[in-house]
Amino acid sequence: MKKTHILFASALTLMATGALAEDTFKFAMIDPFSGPAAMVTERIENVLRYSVDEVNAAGGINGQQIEILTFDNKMSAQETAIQAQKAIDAGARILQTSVSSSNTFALVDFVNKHNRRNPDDQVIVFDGASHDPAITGEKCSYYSFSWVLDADMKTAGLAHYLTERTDITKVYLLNAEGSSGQTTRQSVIEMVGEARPDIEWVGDDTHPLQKITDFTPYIAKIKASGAQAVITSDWGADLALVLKAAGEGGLEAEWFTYFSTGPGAPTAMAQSGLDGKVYSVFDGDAGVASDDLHAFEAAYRSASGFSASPFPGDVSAIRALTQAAEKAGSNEVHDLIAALEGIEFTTVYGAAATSRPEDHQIITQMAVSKFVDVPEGTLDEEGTGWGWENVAIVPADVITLPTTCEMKRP
Amino acid sequence: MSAEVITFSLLNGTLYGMLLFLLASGLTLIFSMMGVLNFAHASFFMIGAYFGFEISKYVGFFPALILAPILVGLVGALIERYGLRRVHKFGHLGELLFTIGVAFVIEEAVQMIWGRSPMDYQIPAALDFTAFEIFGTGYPAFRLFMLIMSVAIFAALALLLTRTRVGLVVKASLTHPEMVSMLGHDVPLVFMSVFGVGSALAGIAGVIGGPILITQPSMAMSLGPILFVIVVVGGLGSLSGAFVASLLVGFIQTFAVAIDLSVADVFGLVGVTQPPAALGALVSDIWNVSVSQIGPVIPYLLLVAVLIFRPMGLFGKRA
Repeated sequence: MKKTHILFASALTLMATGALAEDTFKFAMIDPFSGPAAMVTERIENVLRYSVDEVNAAGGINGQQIEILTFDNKMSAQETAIQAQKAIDAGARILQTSVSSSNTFALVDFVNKHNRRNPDDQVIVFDGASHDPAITGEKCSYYSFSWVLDADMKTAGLAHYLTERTDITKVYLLNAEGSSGQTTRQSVIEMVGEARPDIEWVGDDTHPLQKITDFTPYIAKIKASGAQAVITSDWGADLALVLKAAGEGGLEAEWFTYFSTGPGAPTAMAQSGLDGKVYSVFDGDAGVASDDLHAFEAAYRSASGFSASPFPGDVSAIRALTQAAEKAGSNEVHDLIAALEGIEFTTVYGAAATSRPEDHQIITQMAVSKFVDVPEGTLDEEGTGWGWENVAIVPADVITLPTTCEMKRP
Repeated sequence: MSAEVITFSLLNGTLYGMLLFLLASGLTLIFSMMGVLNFAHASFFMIGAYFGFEISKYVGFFPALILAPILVGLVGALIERYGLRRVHKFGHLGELLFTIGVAFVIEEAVQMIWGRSPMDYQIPAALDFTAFEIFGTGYPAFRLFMLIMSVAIFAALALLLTRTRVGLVVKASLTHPEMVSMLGHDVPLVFMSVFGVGSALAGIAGVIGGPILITQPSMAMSLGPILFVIVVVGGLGSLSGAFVASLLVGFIQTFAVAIDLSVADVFGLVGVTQPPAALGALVSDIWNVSVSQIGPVIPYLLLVAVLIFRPMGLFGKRA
């Protein structure tokens, strides 16, 4: 008797999920779920699912629940295209990729082609975290939207902040080889150089990407150069190792970093003991003064154990999508794109944001914050007891750069 | 280059070289004994760091420094006894493939147990102070401790191999296994012990390297390739070769970073400031690349050069 009950119940559940799968709005996440970058993907997926659950609990978009499908692109551009086809076959309407800009380019190219060949079955691309300016610049597409500030906007924000820091005149550049590090280095030299012509570049080093295990020689060199500040676009293990080496070597210079909110970096920074010396130049962080942000962070952390603010793109994407769906009154791809252009919403940091119609780039404020030993009860990062203290909010109009996008509209 | 930079490069180069030696010594021991190039060696280094982190949470760093390597050595010995020894009959290629497989298994296992995020493995408070100051810069005591540990282990290993009965048996098993076996020694046990000790050495490197590097699942793969450079350059199976090659690689990597000289600078000395257009785009690409930029690649160039010109390595006895 009991057995039949269970059978009956599971049959019901099966039918229910089957029915649910029929009329959900499918949102595909195409990212490296295996390999060294999987740690980042995991965190992104967590934030995305959390935001989607919020929307679904409030009734979904136009009555439809959002369903997340995940596809492993193994950090390869070719695999991204293969997985995109799978996602489309599974009925996905929006394809999001975050971890690497080369994957985003591959996805945009694939979707452009797909949409041209299948006018009745078009899809949208969301770029959740890769901050390459080319995504909304030369590679911009009518079907693609970027939900994080690009590297040039952040550099413009850094340049703006440095105009107030006239005490810094000797700056060292430390970047990895490869396109991301080198384009950032170039724009730092141009934009910061223009804003602060009195700054002297006392060093300019390019090192191999994610291959160095010992950064102490670089720290010795930076120290010998007399630099007051280091600007680096390093991320992941490189950033963690270089900051640990700086702490050990007793380097007094301040660090301006683009990716120190990312997974693993706060742990390394707290270990390094560089109290108040590492600045994050990013879309925002848990130190930004906003009640909405702190409420969101508190709820998210109790659910996942991690901080949500390193991945603002996912919250922005889901909020913008929700608003756009409401505005359009439909979940059809073309209505959504039209509504997403110029959509106004609030980021996870509680700041006003919009998607610029000319290039589909998010336009919002950014934050410069420093990493300090925070008092008990304040939001810390990765359980270290250290957290972000905001030093400047750079308003959106300061970092809005002219668009270089020549968009082909259907 | 100022005296300050030279002093620090010497110190840092020695230290990094000695850390590499701790790893390479085990690898070269295992190779000279069993002829197996152990691709999983850096993985033992990684589990050494993870074990060190876990154990030091309960009993402190110094007991962990002893317990963790013992555990790693046991894991290594078990892998030799129940894995490698069975694969042995399929020849060296089988053994090589086996160790590559083990490396992947260990990495996945570490990810499953500890997750993909880095561990918060900190320098023990007892060693978290400045040892001495030169040129106004403090040198951390923990680094000095690493240096002393590495030198002590090198000395102990050298003494063990050259001055004791155990060393005699080990060396004899390497060249004349049948004869040693005839004399009543258990050669497979010797092999297993050597594999265990080699793994334990990597484990020690992990315990003391973990707080300085980042204790995360990718740490093995990032250190693995450079170990093979050391073993090949030093001479496969030569302990003193591994010692010299470790220091050499340490110095190359630290000094290269300090040198900003590029092709353009060299030609600038003789008055040539622009690359000759006739040589094309390739030359203009490398024109401004400085030594510091290619520093981390130089050891691999050395590897290629040694393989071409002196395949037995600097101190090796066989090719």
